[in-house]
Amino acid sequence: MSDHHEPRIVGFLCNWCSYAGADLAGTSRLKVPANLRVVRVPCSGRINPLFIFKALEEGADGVMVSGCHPGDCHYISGNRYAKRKLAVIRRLLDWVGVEPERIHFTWLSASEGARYAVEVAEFVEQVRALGRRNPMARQGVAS
Amino acid sequence: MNQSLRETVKNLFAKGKVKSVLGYREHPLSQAVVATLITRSEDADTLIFDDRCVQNLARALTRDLPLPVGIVVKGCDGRAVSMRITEGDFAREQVVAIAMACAGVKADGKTFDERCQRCEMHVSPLADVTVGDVSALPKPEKTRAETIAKIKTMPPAERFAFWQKAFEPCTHCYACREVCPLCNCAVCVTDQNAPRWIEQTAKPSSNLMWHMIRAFHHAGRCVDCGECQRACPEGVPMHLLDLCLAEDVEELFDFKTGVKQGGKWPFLMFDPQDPDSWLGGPHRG
Repeated sequence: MSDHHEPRIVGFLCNWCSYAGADLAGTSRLKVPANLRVVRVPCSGRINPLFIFKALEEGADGVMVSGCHPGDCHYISGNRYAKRKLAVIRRLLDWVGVEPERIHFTWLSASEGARYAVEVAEFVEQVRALGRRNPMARQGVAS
Repeated sequence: MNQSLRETVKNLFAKGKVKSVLGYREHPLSQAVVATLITRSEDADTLIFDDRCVQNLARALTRDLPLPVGIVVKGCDGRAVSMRITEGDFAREQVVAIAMACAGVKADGKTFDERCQRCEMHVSPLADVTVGDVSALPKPEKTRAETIAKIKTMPPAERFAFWQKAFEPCTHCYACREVCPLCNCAVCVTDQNAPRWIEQTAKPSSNLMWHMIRAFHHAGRCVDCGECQRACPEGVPMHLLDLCLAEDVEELFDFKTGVKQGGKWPFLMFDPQDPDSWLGGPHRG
């Protein structure tokens, strides 16, 4: 087997903004790395820490979460609650020794297809640079 | 202290302030200190309070008890009761906190528990009546920051190895959950099986998942009573992770669990000024 390891990243994107932003990147024929596997969520506030931890346990090399810009939430304030949760999730992962570079939180609107492509590409390279396997990945999961 | 506690409880019964009282008594055969519920004034003479009263009775508070219920609380227990009121489990008037001047408890019978050595709250912040001399309580010998400093200074890989080793003996018996005064989910996430978020077999990945989720659910809720760690038959230091997150929650949200009455758990509210810097940028370690 070769040593080449293509990072696999799970992205949780808000239905109302980032997911449409990703769609815009596609319809605009922008090149977006295929490393990101997208999960559409109704709001960034829907994201349970379990989603992120489970993705890492199942062998994802990184997790990206993207919601609407603060103030633009379809449900008025879901992303503001999300921010508090995500802040602690990030610190918890850091406390247990998972590199914070594996996690990327951002706000992306439906019109920011180009920025989406850039953010994803940068994050993929950031995760690739970490090199080794995500320490949380369970035994037996393909890497 | 026992005598004044008993007088206080009898007084509460006489005035009709409580219909039942949760407290500690000595078991007549084993002499071990056990939790007890009394519903009659005359039973107050069985109540005791000393450094063997390690249990957190907030765990035993349920709405099935004859309310209003009196509860004998140490500082940490009182914070837990306060948090349960904050979370809406009880109305303030349904619980009468009998705050003891607690100098600390000795689970091993010899030295004060680690939690007591760094205790900053010997008397419950939630207190309807106070029993004992609150002026003669010890100052903390160490701080939480000192306790978690060793983890803070480790590089990520070493930190991960530290927790792997720490959680390795975990058998998923969930004693930590059963004893925790704030583990009151109707169905615990580890018992949910569609989907099965956390495997119940003991292995490195599921041990870590369980303790991470456990810690996250206690972020901003843990009252540092240390019961989880005391109850653990395998000596897993899971409370350490709660302490780490407690530090973060205090720093991020300026929230200290169960100290102020009223208010909300920081995850149930937000401030429009919450900075985006929380989500990225360089971090410690």
